[in-house]
Amino acid sequence: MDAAQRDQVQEAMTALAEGDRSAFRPVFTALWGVLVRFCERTLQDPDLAQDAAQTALMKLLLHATEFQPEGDAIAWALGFAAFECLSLRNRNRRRRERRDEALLAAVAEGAPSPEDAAIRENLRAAAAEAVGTLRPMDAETLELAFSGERREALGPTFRKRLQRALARLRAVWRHTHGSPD
Amino acid sequence: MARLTESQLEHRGRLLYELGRARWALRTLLLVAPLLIAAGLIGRPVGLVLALGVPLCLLSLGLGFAHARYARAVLVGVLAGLPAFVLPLLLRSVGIMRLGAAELDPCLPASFVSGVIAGALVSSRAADEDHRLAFWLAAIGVTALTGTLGCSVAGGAGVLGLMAGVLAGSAPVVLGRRLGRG
Repeated sequence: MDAAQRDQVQEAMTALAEGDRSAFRPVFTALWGVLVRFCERTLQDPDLAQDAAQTALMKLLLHATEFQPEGDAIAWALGFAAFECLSLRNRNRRRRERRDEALLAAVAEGAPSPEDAAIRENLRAAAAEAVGTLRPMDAETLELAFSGERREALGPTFRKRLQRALARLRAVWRHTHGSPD
Repeated sequence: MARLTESQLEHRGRLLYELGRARWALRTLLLVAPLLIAAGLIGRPVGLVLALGVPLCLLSLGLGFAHARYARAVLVGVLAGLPAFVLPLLLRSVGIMRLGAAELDPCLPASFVSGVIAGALVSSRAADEDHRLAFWLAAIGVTALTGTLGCSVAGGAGVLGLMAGVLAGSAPVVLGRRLGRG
């Protein structure tokens, strides 16, 4: 906004504060654009910015009669917008915090936290992926071994096969993740 | 706030602006209400206080709502009407004065004099405004209602005296300005 436009807004705002209704539209048109741009820059979210700019403009118009002509109209308007942006940001942060607290409260005692569960799920997926790269016979051996049957009951041949399958799995894991563990 | 189109927003903004003005206009009552309470306390008839007070409140509210210049007119009108409100009431205590064979109610000249003061004050203040006539009419309306609360102790003659005084007080200021401009 250049100096001439700023002067026009100042003049229109002063007239509106006095009660000159013909200055309503010029003030509305000029300040709406200024407030939207300011809120977009501040909040970095077009939807939130529209909400903040709307509320700020409505509050400004409600208090238009209190505008002091010696003050700067644009700065005065941006004061409303800054307050709305701050309120909206704080409200959203509080809402997020409440949601996080509710999520934490929903975890049963002794159960893994959402973070632990996510890590465990990632590891399981990575392990399944590594097993998938082995030969079918090795994969079958590992499945059988981890199905819960006792290794002693499966015989020495199976134990040897399992040893080889595990060695290959470790090699694949080391290759993809850099560590055998 | 629900998302509105720009025209809906403008409409809503206009309503809020008018609401803000109405709220702002309530301030004029802070000027008028104490005067009405005072009138009641100094023994003016309740009917008269109500008959003049209600239009005075409505006029003040309406003028304040319309424009800040008329809110200023309310202030000037009330201040200009104060002598007319107080003077006749003070002189009433003096009683009827005897001038030879004739009797004179001091409230009549007091009403006229306070009208002259009010007229001069309102007219000189109106001269500083852009909309002089509108300002003058608004302020004189308030002065008339305020002053009548006091001048009516002398009956209709007191009110007429006040009005004559207002015209007499305004005339020199108006003429002076005209001559000055000429």
